[in-house]
Amino acid sequence: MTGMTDHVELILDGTKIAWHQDRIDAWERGERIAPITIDMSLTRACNFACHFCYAMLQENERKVIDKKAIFEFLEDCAEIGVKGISLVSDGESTISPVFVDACKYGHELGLSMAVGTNGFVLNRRKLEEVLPSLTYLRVNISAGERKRYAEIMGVKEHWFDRVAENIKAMGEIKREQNLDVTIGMQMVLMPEYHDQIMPLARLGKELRPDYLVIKHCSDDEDGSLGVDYSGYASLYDTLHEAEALSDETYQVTVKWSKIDTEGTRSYQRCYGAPFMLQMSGSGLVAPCGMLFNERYKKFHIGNITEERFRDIFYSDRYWEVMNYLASPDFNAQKMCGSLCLQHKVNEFLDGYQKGDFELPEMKGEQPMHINFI
Amino acid sequence: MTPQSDVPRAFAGPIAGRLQHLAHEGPAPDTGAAAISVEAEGMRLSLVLDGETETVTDARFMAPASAPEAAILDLLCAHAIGAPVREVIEHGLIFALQALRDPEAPSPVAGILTPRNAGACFKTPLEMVAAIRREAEARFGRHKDTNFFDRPYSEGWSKLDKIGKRDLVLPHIDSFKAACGISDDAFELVEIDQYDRLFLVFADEIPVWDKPVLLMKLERWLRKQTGERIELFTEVVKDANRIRRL
Repeated sequence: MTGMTDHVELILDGTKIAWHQDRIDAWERGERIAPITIDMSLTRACNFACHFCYAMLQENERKVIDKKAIFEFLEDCAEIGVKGISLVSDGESTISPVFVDACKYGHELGLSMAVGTNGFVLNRRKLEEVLPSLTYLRVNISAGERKRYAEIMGVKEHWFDRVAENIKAMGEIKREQNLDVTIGMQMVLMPEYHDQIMPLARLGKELRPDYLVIKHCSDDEDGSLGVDYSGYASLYDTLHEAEALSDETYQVTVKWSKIDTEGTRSYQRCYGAPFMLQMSGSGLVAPCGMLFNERYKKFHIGNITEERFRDIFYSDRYWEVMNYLASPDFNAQKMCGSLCLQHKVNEFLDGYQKGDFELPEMKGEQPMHINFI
Repeated sequence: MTPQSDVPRAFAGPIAGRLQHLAHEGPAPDTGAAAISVEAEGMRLSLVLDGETETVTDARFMAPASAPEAAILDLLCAHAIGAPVREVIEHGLIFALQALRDPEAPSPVAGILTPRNAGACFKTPLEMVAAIRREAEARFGRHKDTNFFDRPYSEGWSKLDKIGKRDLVLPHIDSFKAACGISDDAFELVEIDQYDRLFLVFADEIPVWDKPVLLMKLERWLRKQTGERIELFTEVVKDANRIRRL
């Protein structure tokens, strides 16, 4: 399994890792490769209380990422060869005082910047300031109706109206300023939210973001969030119906490749983390979001509020942890939660490492968001 | 055959040690059972299979005396016996690599170590495993399902209750503390859960950034002393966000 989808303009269900063959080659030679993508947050805090939120399981010692820390981090990323930074991870980055400056500075340094947000505090003024610096901005919205939105996202009903207004404004600003940014909506789907699939797909058609992506919900290895993976199969007809609402400028995509697996992994080693690193809103550098909690202290590498990222990246400790994940000491099928961020990258690299396929020759125009693998 | 001088330092000692005690050298027994044999560079690897389950029931190799590859093939055979042939193909050499790596010696590469970049001594074993794969797929077809083969704990460990497991690991934890000059109350084993995960609690005297390194080192120590795939964790920390609750 290569994990590659057909070459479509906007890949929402698959991996773009094969477009980075130089880095795969360097990894294979045993060189210290910089991550192509880093997924991080500027804070652990959040103003929402989403029922499905994996961040509830990711608590670690909180530190504050201030302007100095994030600027130095971004400079280090640019220096070592990181290509894209997505502000998603385990906190609501838009409520950090350094949010706008971080997006703008990262962009100035030549990094591709992206944001995942609940969209609540982003007013028109802030959006006008930040959107020109972003590759994509994606709003987490797991319901299409006020009452259910409040229940699922853990907020007041009228917050739904404000977020919807903001999504509409994002599209308007994009068109007014002729920006390259992609505006997205994301539904984290638990089987019990099935009644909101169609209302949300229709809401998107009205608000006109570029896409709506519907994805599974991740859970930890103990099943703490109680995701019933067998429950997705009964939703397939509704999900197909939602996808059928796509039109020329509005794409509805279901992450079938992950939903279909019912939370299982085809691989035992995790080769993806050096290519796609995750960092907590506490500044913690750990290979993967599923290992942020203090209980996984064994995998914690450093903190960007305490030392420079470039020093962490070049440290033997960083590579000791990455090698542990790539060795028989580690078995992702037994020791990890379900469907992590690196899942598709892991599938691809594991298949390649086992000799299941040769590296495909990538032809034609690169897909969008190439630096977010 | 790779000259000894070309064996990376990280493997030199363990390979030399393994060559003194090869357990799977020799021709495959002629039992009439299904077998896959491959040859490369004057070496031979044979897997005897249960034709129905594709499980390896015996594994043998032949290689020139003192060839570093012999140590690798010996470990590959050790991993193979009792495993599906598919597991041997997918993970056999990773296990051999791990078993032959001296953790105290510098790695042959700065980044991620794999059989493909671990040095010339892995070249022929890689070719042999690729040949086994071709032959196995020709006979059994390519598997489309997932390989979940795993060997986490021994039967002896699994039969122990929590107290028995605790009694087994505690002396090794104490010997680790003594060997590292760590005080007795620096950390404590507080739980072994239903999945056999060991949970530790640290005293304040251990600096925050010493803990991850210590945990990994202790885990390696416990695995070596017990032969079990021990996993170490510290206590879970609950979400500190006031408005979110599981």
